[in-house]
Amino acid sequence: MAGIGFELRKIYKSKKLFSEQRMYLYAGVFYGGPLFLGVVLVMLVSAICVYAGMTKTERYLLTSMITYAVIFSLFFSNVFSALLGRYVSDMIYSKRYEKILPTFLGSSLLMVFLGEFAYGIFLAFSGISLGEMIFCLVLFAELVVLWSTINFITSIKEYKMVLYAFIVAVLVTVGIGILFILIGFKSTQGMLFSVCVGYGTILYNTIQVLYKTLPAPKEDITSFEFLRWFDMYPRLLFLGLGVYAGAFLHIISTWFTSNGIQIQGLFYNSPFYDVPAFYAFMTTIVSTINFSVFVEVEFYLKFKRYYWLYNNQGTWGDIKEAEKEMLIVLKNELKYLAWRQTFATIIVIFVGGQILEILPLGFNNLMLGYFRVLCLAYGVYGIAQSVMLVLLYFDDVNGASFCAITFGILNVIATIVNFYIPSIYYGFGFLICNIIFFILVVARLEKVTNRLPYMVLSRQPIVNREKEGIFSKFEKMLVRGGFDEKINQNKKRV
Amino acid sequence: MRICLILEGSYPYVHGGVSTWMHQYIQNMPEHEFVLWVIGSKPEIRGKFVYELPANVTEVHEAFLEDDKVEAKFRQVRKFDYKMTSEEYKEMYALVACDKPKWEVIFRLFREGRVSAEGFLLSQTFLDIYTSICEERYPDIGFSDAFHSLRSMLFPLLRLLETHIPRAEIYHSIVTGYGGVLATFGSILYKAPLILTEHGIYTREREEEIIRSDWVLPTMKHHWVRFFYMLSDAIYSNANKITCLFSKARMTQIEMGCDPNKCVVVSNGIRYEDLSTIPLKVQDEWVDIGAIVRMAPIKDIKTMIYAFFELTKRVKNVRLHIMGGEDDHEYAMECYALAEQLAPESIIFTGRVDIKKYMEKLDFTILTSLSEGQPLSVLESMAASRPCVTTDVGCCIDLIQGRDKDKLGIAGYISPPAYREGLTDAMEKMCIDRERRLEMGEIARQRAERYYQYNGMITLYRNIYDEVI
Repeated sequence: MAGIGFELRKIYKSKKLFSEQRMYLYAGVFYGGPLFLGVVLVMLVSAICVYAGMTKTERYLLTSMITYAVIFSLFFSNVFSALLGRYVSDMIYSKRYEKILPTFLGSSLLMVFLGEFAYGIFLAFSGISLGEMIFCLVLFAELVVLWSTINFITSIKEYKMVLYAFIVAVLVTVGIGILFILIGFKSTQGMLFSVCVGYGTILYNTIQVLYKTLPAPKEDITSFEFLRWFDMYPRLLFLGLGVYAGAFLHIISTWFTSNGIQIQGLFYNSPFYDVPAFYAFMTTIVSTINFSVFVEVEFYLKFKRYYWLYNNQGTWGDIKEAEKEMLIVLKNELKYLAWRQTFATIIVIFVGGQILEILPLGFNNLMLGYFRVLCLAYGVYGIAQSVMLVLLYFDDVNGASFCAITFGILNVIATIVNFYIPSIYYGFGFLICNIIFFILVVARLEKVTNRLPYMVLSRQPIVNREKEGIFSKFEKMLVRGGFDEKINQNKKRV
Repeated sequence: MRICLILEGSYPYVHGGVSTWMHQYIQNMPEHEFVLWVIGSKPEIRGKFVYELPANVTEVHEAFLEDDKVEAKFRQVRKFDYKMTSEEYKEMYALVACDKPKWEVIFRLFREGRVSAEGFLLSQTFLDIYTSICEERYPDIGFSDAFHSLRSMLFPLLRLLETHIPRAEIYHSIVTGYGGVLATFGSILYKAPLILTEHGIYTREREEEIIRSDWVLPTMKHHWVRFFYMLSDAIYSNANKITCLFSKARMTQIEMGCDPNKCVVVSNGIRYEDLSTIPLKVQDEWVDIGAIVRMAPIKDIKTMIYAFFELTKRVKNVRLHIMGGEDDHEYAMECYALAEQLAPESIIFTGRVDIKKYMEKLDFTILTSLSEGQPLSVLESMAASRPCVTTDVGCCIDLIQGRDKDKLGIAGYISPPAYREGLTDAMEKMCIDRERRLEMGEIARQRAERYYQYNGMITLYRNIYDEVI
């Protein structure tokens, strides 16, 4: 969601010493932080387990439970994020800022409710203890809300607070973990508890930031109005599904190949593949940061002017001129983004690989190979995803979702193929999917930018026909059922 | 014979001059079968007729400009992917540019379902045409607003081209505009003769409306006016016979591109026998002025009220009876308020009344319209020996002063439209000299008897039908 970039630009414009570095640091902390935290926590928790002398199975189960929660929550909240993003930008456009916070609460509630239900069913059959299950559910809920909070934050005035919160979270987790060990409570449950508290700390802090940056709601504390947007843009749901299913499917599928290990019940992992994949995934942060700091900011100014002309008597000549300017900026910024991502990917492949080998992570040659291929794949993914977001800027929901869904389907195919090929080629399928995804979005962007006036003007309906679909009915049901009101009353009472 | 009558915004939905005329016309041609093809604005008025349709009306086809329901056949082509031939493109371009398209080409596109209104307006082709028109003719207008304005201008027209076309042996349109286009469509499709009867000059009326309006973008007014000229041109250039009510209107039609050989004047007629027997008002202390008029802005009732208010300051014991239903409720309310404020005692709003009965209470009549063709109310008043004060619109001057060889004398007074003082002066002259008023009333009656009888008019139309078939 546009916004944070603007705040970051202010830091950059202040031209203080190291302002650019500071900007990158904050953006990095902001976007990469929670994920990075996950990696750090898994590492630390593993270390504590080793130190406490817990069994290998217990250790694997623990990291696997955290990994599952991270993957499924990321997947779950990101499926909704494109649509929520659309809704929030529509609210910003129509200056109904007071709608944003209630939407955050409403959507979080709904996601937690649906997510817990689905994840709960899975956990019930996964063969873990009730205590572990409860902590897994808590962690999942925390993560779902956390990813959503990050998506909703449109300015980042309190970046220092977020940074400190991360450090506190790490300390709290480690502290509680060690405390449990010291008092002789050596169990996965204790470790899970400490991770829950750690993420709880960071969630609490990010929500604080969100509340400080968003205007207070006028009347409703929760709002489910965004559900109507599902009916208007059902494809955005599939877009989220395609892009994020695509990004994680290969990891999940590897668990069930010869490379995978069944830890306990439904908990699997594939340490040879999972660990490189996670580190590789983190390289997409380069694209994410560049997108919000440069593309969204530089391009958005031109973009705004372009649309402003349509709304404010701009002549055909003005519009053509503005379009030219906007597209030059867009192409340049996307080019820079692609270069930065490529450069970063290359450095990570060579330098990062070396470092990972040195670190006591047990990196072997196979893992290094996976790591290199996946770095490349996620690098392409980062760029392609940024281009896809630009498509959404131009309101090309159909095009973007076509690319995303194709990407998702290709990944399903690649996953099936994975079962029939030697394990050293794992990751190549994902790489090919990303290259195709990239080609598709770039071709689509080319097509869209060639016919922008058509996108802006002609596609607008001549006659507005109200369309009430299943999600609008769902919204009405939630509101009618007093779900909304009850929560509001309780909040007021509090 | 099966004759399709095409009407727009009048019969059988609202009362008024054209509606009354049409109703009587159908009743007086029992030997023909009539199919009504009527265009209304909002679909909510579907089937809400204010007239009981005569027995020889066998079918009614209603079409609405603001109807947005899509027929199944056209829903399939909502997505526009039809590749037009260069001829089709050229004619669609002419349509969007409001030039003179070859209508038969456009009709064929829609008839064969290759293009739909929505599909076309949502297409890249339409945008290309629009952009090129903008570059050529309107480089300085707001691109987006004009685009939407153009779309909303073309949408109702193109939607009409998607409606069902009733079959008939003659297409007789009582209007140009949208109705004229539909009549032309029917005539071309079924190779049937086409007749146009214009009561007013539709295009000019729309032009005035657009120039005064605040809902049309100022930069687009020119294009909207061109649009209505284009619509009229469809029937002007395809009709076999074009009639109008008076010679000045005929000249205007010729100016606008009609073939002079096709244009004939057929005056309106009234039932002289019924009206001429109405007795004159028994003299009392009052002078009663009547206005037989719908409550609508085009009738300029506010000026009438102001002028009358001036009159009450000059002449004692005058009353104004405004007779007619509300056409525009908001405007009517404003008029009531104005009358209440200025002369509550002496302005009487009667609503719709039986004119023949009410005429007995009147000394003379007044008409303050901003635009008219050949107003029936003036003819009725004349046949009833009541002189008239009218504005100089349509052929009122012919009615009051006589035309060509008519040397009967004057049947009332003429004042420029919207000129309050002129109207007051004319009314004052009428009020103070009873002798002169009665004299003019007699001239009025004689003129109506000689030139404006109903049967004469019907005979002329019968002859036209025989001629074209």
